[in-house]
Amino acid sequence: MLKIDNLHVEIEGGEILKGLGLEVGKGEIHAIMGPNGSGKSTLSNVLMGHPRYDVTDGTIEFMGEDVMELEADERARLGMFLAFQYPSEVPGVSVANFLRTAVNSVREKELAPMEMYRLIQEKMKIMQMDPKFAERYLNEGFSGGEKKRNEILQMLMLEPKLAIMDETDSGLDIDALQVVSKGVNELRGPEFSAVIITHYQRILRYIEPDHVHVMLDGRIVTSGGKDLALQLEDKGYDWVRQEFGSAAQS
Amino acid sequence: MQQKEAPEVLKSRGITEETVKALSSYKDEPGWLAEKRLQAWRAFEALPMPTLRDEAWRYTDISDVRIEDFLPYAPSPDAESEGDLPDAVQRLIKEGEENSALLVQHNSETAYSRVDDEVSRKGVVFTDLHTALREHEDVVREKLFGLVPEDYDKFAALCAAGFAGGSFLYVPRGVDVEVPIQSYRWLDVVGSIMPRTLVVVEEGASVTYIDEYASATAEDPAFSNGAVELYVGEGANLRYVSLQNWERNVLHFNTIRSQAGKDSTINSLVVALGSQLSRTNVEAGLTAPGSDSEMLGLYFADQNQVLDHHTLQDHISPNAHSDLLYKGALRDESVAVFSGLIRVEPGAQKTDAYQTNRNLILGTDDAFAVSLPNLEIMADDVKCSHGSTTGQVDDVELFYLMSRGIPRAEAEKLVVFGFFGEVTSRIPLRGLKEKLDRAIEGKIGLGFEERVA
Repeated sequence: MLKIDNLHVEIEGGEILKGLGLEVGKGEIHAIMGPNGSGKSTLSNVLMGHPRYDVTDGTIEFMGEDVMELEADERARLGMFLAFQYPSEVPGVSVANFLRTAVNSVREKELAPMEMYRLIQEKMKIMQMDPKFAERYLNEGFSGGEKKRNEILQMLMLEPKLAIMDETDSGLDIDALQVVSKGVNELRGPEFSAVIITHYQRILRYIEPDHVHVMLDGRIVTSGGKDLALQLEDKGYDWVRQEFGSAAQS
Repeated sequence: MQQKEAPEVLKSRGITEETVKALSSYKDEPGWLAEKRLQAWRAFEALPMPTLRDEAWRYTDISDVRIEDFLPYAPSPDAESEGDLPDAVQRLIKEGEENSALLVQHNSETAYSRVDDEVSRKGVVFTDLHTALREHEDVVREKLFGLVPEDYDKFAALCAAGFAGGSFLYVPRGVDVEVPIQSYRWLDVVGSIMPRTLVVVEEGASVTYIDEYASATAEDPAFSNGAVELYVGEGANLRYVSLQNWERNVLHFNTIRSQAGKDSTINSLVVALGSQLSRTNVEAGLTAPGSDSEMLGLYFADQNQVLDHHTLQDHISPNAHSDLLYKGALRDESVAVFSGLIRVEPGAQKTDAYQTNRNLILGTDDAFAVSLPNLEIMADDVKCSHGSTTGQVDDVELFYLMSRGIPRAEAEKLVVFGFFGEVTSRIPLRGLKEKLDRAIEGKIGLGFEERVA
């Protein structure tokens, strides 16, 4: 599904990702954990084609296709999705209008307005969102929790093949975290893969990963099963630094 | 509506004292008006042409404007019905807001006007200015030139001296006109058009008036020079829309001033989309306690257009409120100028006044937006604020939209519509909103960033 090889990324001349490799199979949920500054958010943004990062080396393949030269909208139409850590506020554009435009952009045939309306209502219900929410301007004045729910709502509407979740759990209380996790689990199945990027293992209690990777200084330094997340929780990131810090420097 | 052949002097280029006199006699005007025109002509001659050295014209170069090149007057055929109007005008009417009264000024003359029975039965008068001079001379004499006098500036002086056509709207006390009233100024000759709009809304009355400017495509420069005077009585409501969508050969000058009665509300919307160069002065006089003025502006400049708005929120009386929001987009090598002043006179305590100007630059480094918000406060118990921003479309915002599968051009469109939405969402006129959306969409075209296909 997703294959990243030897990925090197710079922003404003500083190298953030230093030869990262990762493979995600169809139907798999991967968690990437790491301390602040390890390059987690850079990885998610680069996967989606963020204009401010420079890829200096390496490849990203999605469903066998090299996506490196594709713009963000083309990646999305292939089935990639990024749940942003800090979604942009777009004044004057309502959530409903945005969802309509997005859904019709990824679909081959436009959805009839009534069907679209029903779909939005149905997905908002899953996310426990007030129907009035659809008329608000995109992310404008949203609380942190509302923004994250709105990200997952978009994911449910677009039904991607691969979702990258950039610290979707950060700043959420337990109720919001459960709702967000429910949204992700809604899509879980043999055709849906996800990369959950997080600092804490808390979200992994609700969305159980098949694989866990630890990221440090722009690389994945160790991988394992879901036990690795628990181990990390016990021992903390200092343990990772002691254990793998030298490997990351080499 | 012409009765006789226009005198020769009106058919030659440029405006002189002879032209002004000829207009008066051709129109069979009362002596006071003929005298007023001459007085205005003298004011026009005495005032120097503004240059970049004048503070109010610092960013708007009008050195190419040669008034002597324009025909002062162009007749137009009368239309018996809407079906006789030029096709383009019929299309504008069809695409516009539903109306209860309509007036079409074709070049220098009124070609057609209609007032629905239901509205005229209530005593509403909507007619061209010369008919109003015959039938309602007292009101016209009292109000005309009261708000935009001949010594306001060089262009106002010229408009007072050489105006032709124009419209007069009178809404009697307590009358609520539910369906908007509309006028179109249509230009299809290379010449000039100098309409005056006079609106008198009496105590407790309520009306919406849409004033639209459009023209046929032409190469040679044409000249539009208007004056709009809005009188709104105690407790009355006026929504006034000025929609300027001239073709690119037109140079547009207009001054819109209002006077607000006690506890009255005036909502204005000034739209500038067309013309080569457009200069509009919009001045709201908060002349009585409790008056309220909402001032909205929307402009979209492209190619080498220059769109200039000078606004004034003139707080003369206490307890008045004004709220200004002007938003503009710029692409290509265009220039937009906004200069706004909130002035609070010494007696105007408890004033509540806001002013915001925002410019959005679309994928170019060659456009130039000037934003000059100003406060002049001479009272001590007031709430005033002003703000101004100018910025490019945020590439992170575009990335966010595109990451949902929305192609770049579509994402850009969403951002621009969103930007203008703050203004258009405040206008309760569906037909007008759709018209503006179409115009904005046309301006965005195939996307605003130059890209290699």
